[in-house]
Amino acid sequence: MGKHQAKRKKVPIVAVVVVVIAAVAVVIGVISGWFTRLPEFFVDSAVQTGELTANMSKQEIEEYLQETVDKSKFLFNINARPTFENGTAEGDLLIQNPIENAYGMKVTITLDDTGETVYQTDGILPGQYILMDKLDKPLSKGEYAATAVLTAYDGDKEIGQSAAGLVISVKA
Amino acid sequence: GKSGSGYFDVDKNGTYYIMAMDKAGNSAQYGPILTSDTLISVEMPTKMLFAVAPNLNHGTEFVAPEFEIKNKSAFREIKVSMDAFNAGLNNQFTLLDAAGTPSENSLKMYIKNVVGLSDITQPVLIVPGAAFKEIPLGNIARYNGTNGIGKFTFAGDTYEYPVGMSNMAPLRADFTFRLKIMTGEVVA
Repeated sequence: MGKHQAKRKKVPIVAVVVVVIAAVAVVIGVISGWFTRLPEFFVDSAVQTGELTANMSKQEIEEYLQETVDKSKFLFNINARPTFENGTAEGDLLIQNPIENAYGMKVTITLDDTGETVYQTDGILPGQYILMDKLDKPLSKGEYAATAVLTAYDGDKEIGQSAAGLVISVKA
Repeated sequence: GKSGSGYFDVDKNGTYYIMAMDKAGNSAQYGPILTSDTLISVEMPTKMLFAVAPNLNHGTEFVAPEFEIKNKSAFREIKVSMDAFNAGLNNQFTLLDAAGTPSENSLKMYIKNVVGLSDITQPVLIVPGAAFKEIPLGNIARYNGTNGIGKFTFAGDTYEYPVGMSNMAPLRADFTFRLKIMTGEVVA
């Protein structure tokens, strides 16, 4: 017991180090490894500035995780049924990165059957949109099941992806 | 592609309008131009987080936040699935299949419904990587001010970490998921 208490006295010092490291995943791991040497694991898709301390309650941990996830919300609009008069005409893609988003995004559309990329954007910042555009690869007349992958970026750093099922119609 | 600044907005009749502003600050509204009842409009989380903190006096309890998906379309319900779940470069441990036994660096993880996702009312085991198969989550009603929300969370079966274990380096996991949205029928 005495040895255990002696280890716990070091918490504030290490807590400072943890904040400097500013990594949520590292925070819990460091606390674990240095003070009881129990294994800990923590998942994040991107390192965050840490506010966790050794004295946090379960509720405080939950609130911290919830706040972090809520801040990662990403909103997008895209037309699920874009229509093109012919293979080289513009169609109503209606891709929008709403202004309330915190992230930029890029969009790639691939055909479900072949995996072929038929459309790809560069960066679209919050408040920007693409209403009408041509496909990068002209398609012949028909309907095509496709998937749009919307990748969110914080600066140059990819932070997550969403996907939308589309049916592309080419009339002639 | 081409892009511009401004926004478009959807009215209740399925038409949308463009609001635009030039460099001098002059704004204008154009439209209606196209019907938009096929527009997917959705808000969802992008980060994957959970924690197991046996050293914070919480035993081996698995803690995860709620992940909310909001259907902002007033016309169509959406069908949501998780179509990808991958380990990142920083990942240091394993998610187990049904036959696996949790160890110090592995656990079983499940996705489960919190509200509105009827396909995962029973927790569904997640096996990442090549073995992952698309997991239907459920349909989310069109937005009408009160509906249009689905929430899920993660649950885990973890190792029974003994008190006083030594020589165990901190572990880090790094996973990402991707949610896919499909549109349903137009609501009259």
